[in-house]
This record gives sequence, structure tokens and C-alpha cells, in this order.
Amino acid sequence: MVHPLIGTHAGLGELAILAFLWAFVELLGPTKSRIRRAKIASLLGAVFFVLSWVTGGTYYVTQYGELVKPVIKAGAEAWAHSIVMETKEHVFLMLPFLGVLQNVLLRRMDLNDPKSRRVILILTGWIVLFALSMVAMGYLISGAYRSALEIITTGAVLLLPLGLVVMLGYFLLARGTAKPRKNVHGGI
Amino acid sequence: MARWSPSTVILATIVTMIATVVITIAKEMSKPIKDVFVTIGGHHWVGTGIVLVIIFAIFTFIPEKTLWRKPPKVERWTWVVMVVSLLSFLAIFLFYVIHFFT
Repeated sequence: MVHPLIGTHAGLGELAILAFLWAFVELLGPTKSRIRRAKIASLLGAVFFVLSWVTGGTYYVTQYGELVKPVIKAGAEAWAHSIVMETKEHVFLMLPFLGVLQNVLLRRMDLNDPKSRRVILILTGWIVLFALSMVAMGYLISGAYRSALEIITTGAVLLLPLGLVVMLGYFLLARGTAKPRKNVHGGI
Repeated sequence: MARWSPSTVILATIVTMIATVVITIAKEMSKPIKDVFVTIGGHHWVGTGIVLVIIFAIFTFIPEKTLWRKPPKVERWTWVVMVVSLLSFLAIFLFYVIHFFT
């Protein structure tokens, strides 16, 4: 079974994306109540990013390195770890800081100014896209892990009948050679 | 959030993102540097996270007036943040692509 931390990490990350997407929609036509809701959504988004960081980090340090990384690296898609995972684990570190920045700007800038409003809106959308790239990379890593496991499973499935045939052959051969022979005196 | 000045948080974000790229590449290129981060956090990735949080906090809480007399235009510098984040992403990605094929 997939480790629960991986689901928690992905789920929290997706909640963060939804929260920033919610803030983005609220900021499209900002009124007093919409700005208030955008602030709540953005705060939730930043908190979810931090929680996703902690859960993903715990999984990465305690499980991934020992159990998943060697399987991916031994598989046909070793690049999924060496390029994608290495990129993801470092690029992800920027997201919580971008989330904090968006929250500060949303609270400190004048949203009546169209220039300020536009730049916050674009930053919020940028955070959503940035986070979605993490989802895509997570998909590639999981896919490579499954693919590597399938190779192992396929290998085992193919090798099993072959192993049985070899064992059966050996058994029959052993029986044949162990057949009691008549000794020179005619007795058994 | 009275103490959080937009200009210092923007600066903190830019510095943190550049630090992420520099630390990531330095760790891969030099084992002693990687070991420093292992010492800090028990795992190099945890150590990196701790250092980045410290960098962000330091730059965020620098009094604005010590950095510049006239605060920079926040709108313009927010664009810079987005460009730096994109370039940082590409720099890390390309580094690992080159690292994988060489």
C-alpha cells in the first residue's frame, strides 16, 4: 500500500492550490467582502504549503530515500529520480516563501490601485501554476516507481514458470539418476 | 502584519530563491558542503530548508529604512520575483539534466 504520508503531502498541496485559485477568482472582481475572502483563502494556501512541506519532507527523509529511490534508479526511468525528483525537492522550497509574499502584498498594498491589483492577481495565478508543476512532477515520479515495480513483477511472473520448469526437470533428472541399480550379484 | 514590509519581504523572497539555486548546485558539486547541511539538519534537504527559512527571516525583518531611503516600487519588484522564480526553476532543472547526462 502507498504510504499515508504521500497522500497527505499531495492532498495538502492540492488544497493549497485550490486555496490560491479561490483567492485568484475573488481578486478578479474585488469588492470589500471578496478581498476579505481572498485574504482568508491566501492564508489557508500558505498554511497548506507549509504543512505539505512538513509531511512531504518527513516522507522524503524517512521513506523515499530508502524504499523508493533505489527502485526508481534501478528501473528504466532512472531520470525520474535524477532529474525530476531532484528538481522537485529543491524547487518546492520556494513555494511557501512565494505564498508568504502573496499574503503580505495582499494585506499591505492598495487594491484600489489597478496596477497593484493586477500584479497581485498575476502573482496568485503564478503560484497556482508553479504548484501545479509540482503535481506534474509528482505524477512522473510515481509513474516511474510503478513502472519499475511492474518490471520487477513482470520479471517475477515470467521467471516463476521458468523456475518451476527448471525445478521439475531437476527433480525428474534426480529421480532418473537415483533409480536403484541392480548390483553385480543380481540383488537389489 | 504591521511589521511585514512588502519591500523587505520581496527582497527576502528573491534572496531566498537565489540561495536555493546556489545551495542546490553547491551541494551536488561538493561533498563537504553537502555534509555541512547534513550537520545542520540531520539530512541535507532538511538542512537546506532550515538555512532558507533563516535567510528569509533575516531579510524580512531587516528594518526597511536601513536598506533604502526611498522604498522601491513594489509592483515592479513583484514582477522581478516572478522572473527570478522562473529562472531559478529552470536553472535547477537544467543543472540536473546536465548532471544526469554527463
